[in-house]
Amino acid sequence: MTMTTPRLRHAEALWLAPPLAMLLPHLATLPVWLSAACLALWGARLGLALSGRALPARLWRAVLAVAATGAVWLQFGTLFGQRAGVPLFILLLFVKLLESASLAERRLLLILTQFMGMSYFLSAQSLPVTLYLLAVSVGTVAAMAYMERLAEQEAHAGDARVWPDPRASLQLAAGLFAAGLPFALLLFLLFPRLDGPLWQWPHDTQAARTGLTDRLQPGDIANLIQSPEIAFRARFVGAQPNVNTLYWRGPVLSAFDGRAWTAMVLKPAAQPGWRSVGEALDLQLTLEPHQQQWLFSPGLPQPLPEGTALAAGMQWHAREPVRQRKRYDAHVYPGYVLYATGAELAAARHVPEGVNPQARALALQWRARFPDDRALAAAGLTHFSAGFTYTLHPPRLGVHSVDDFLFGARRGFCEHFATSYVFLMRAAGIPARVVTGYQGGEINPLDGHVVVRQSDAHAWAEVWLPDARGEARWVRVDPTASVSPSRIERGLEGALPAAELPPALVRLSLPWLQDMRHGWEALNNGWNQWVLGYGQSQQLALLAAFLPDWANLRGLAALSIAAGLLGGILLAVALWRMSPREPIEPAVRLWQRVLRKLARLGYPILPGEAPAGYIDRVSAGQPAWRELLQRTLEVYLVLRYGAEKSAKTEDAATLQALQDAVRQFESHPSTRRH
Amino acid sequence: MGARQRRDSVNPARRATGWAFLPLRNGFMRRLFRLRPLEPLPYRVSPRRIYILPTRQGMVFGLLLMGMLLGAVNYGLSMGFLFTFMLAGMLLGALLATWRTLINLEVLRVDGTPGFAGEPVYFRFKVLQPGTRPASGLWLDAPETAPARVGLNGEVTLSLVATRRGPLKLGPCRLYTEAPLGLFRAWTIFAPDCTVWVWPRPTRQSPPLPAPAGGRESTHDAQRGGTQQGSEDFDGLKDYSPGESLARVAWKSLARRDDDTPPQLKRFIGDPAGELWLDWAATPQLDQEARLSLLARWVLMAEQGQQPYALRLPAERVASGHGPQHRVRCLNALARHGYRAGGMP
Repeated sequence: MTMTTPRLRHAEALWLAPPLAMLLPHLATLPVWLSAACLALWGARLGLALSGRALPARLWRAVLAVAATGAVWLQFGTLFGQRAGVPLFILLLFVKLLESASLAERRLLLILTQFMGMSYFLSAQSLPVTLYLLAVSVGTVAAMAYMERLAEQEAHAGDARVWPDPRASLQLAAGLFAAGLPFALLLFLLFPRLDGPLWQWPHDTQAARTGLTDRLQPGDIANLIQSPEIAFRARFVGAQPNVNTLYWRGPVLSAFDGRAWTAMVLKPAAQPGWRSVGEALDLQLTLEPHQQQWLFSPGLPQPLPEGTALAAGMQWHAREPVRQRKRYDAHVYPGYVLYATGAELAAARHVPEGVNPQARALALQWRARFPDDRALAAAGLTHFSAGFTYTLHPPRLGVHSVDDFLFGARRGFCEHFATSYVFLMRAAGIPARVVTGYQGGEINPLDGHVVVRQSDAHAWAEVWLPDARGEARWVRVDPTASVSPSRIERGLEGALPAAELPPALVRLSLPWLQDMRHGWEALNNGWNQWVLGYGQSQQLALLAAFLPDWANLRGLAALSIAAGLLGGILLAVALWRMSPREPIEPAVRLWQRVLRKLARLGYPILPGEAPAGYIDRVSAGQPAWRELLQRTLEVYLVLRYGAEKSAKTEDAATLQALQDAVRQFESHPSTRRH
Repeated sequence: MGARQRRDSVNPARRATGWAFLPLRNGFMRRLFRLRPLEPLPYRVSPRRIYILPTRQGMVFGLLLMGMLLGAVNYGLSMGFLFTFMLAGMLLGALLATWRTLINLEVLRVDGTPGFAGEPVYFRFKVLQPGTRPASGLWLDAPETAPARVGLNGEVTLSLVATRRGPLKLGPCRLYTEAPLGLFRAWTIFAPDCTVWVWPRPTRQSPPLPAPAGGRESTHDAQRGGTQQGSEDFDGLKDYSPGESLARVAWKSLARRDDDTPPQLKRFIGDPAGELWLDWAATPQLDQEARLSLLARWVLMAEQGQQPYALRLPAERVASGHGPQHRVRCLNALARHGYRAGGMP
């Protein structure tokens, strides 16, 4: 490095570009100090590379590495797992930049850069991210090739004629990726996917995800509603329901401790407590990973898709927490009848002692006035229709939260209405419970998918009421609809004053912007559905379509191994056929055909014999061939040694003549007998 | 004193290239590398004789790919799978690209340049790249030599410090490359039939040249140093033999003749026509190598003295002559001493 010219130094500094490019997407997820440290280390290394000054001493690099490790530990409290491990790896990689001078170290660093790129997929796997990372990956390989060429350049003592061109290296890298692409795609399709993780770091599960949980406290849903994140996408094949009226049922919260509501335990129901009514909808549900087991359905799913179950309270859930984007195909009956066991009803009547005395008193008043449960429930709803305000910013509530809400603030959100209503019903002796989930959704006109966001989160009530024939079942009651019917009909932005809308939710009013957003989300959804969502069940379905006998895990494993081998062999054959050889002119090839034929006929050419003499000798022995052979020879000599290398068309004509002569000779009766 | 090394014409300092430890004398290894005892050049690199292994960085890449795959499986990263498999495909492409760098290469010839023991001898190779590509990223080495990069013109020279007088056989050579990414190294081993004669190392100090013997008209005493004075008087012609000084060719008489007889040399009175004999028998009774070293020094001294000289060894003699070719002939005779003409001891 000490003897390098500035030009070589500048060219060599190119190898610093890939680490920076791979770092860029990470910057958004890394702590600010860590991003700054990486950029500073990178800048320092670039300065050293351009000026040709010596790298810091080994001691300094060791101190930096220890300090980096310590800082990561202080920030995350651990060094392992994806939360701390990825930042640690990135920081150490940038420390390592300071010690990478030799060719071998540069190679190593560029390899580690690939790993850094891969680790970003833990944060996001969207289409643009993937395209960007793959492009940088190609660039990284190009940088590797370029460094090899530069090392050669040093050996050629800076000979400017052989100065390597970065574009040639880029082309080479792209070629290598292109050559490996069939292999990669086959493996992508066939490599057996697992549904669950192999191991888990305790911290990884805490990676905060927005979404509904099994507890509901005042303010939870108001927080959730600030988030424009997509909770899930749904598509209805065939009959399309009115999306605005859909209640996507999630956790059912029955236990109340005076402040928070807790979901019913996800255990199998004692007996099937439900029955479907009417027509089914064909639902394709694609869930974003929310680290919980809840699945969301606008009705009773039947039969149950694989890996899912219905727990007590008709809580549809996955057997494992949804840790990755997952698709479920189900028949869903929007009409259903839901029954309850005695224990369930007992729990749904429970009112903790000593809280919300005013609300209890009100409920007892109602009880006295309406002996009929249905009349009482209706009266409760009417109570909310006057004097209450729908707002995302309710005042803080005290210990008696229901009392404070009903008789004090009278301002609140769906969770306040739902929990207060359920409390009143219970106090009046009617079993009731809170159900959380999502309400409504937005149809993307491009691909017909219903997009349901966290901002569509909702809470409502289920009340145990007799129907017209006196048979009791759970009935959905939504007190929010009484306060603000537009919340149900037109979504959140219809219900809230414009000033109160969270900024993320301000819908784009310009039509073309809206179209663009729809297009973008449709593209993303296609990506999610077809590429990211490609998992074991899709693999097996693919195999079942083409190779039914192999549609199991063992078949997948065998096929992926076979595909790997086949891809490798195909690649080898392709490259072998492309391997450089002396190009043989077509004329020579034709001439060699004649020579081989004559040799088979007993007239091999002698070493050192010239074509003309050879043909004379053969013709003397076989006068019958003289004319044909002479013609062949003449045309051949013109093609090979003709004075004027004439225009290509003329050449082509002569070549055709040679070909004809050779064919005639080969098919001549006297030559065919042998 | 020519301290005789027990090592077999190798320089231990050059034993750094690693592959010298391959037991190529072992029958299994020879079969594995399809090594023939000696091969005629040109040697064309065929697919069956290319070997390929990952470099250290290549192995690290492989391990990292395994790690990536595990990560993709564990966290269910669909794009992780794609990324990993694309890199794996790229790696496969790189493997074949490395392999392709060697395929159909041709080692056209190798010329050995002899030298004195203790000094480097050179083996100059010519490697032909098929097609129009310039040779790039190609290296050549032999067990005892440092690797040398094949030049853009396909020329490459291996140098080897000869430690011992006698025949020096260039062992199996290895042509290798790590292009284009440095993740794989492909190599081929071939054993060109190339032997150079290592001349004896000339002694530092030596007794003076022996006196020319058998002069026609002068005594032994008059010969020493009399060369220059006597050169003025023409004495006659004698036949030219290769290696003799062109300054003495009788060009005029040569121009007059049109037959094929060799040119005539002018002879002068006082010439050491009686020839300076560098004679094995005239050297002190030292061991064989020391005597050869002394003779080598004498050859150099005689050559410097511009006077024709002849060499007599127990089994070989070189007729009198002068000039670079004559010098090489004499030194080669010294190098061959004790070995059969075929070159093998």
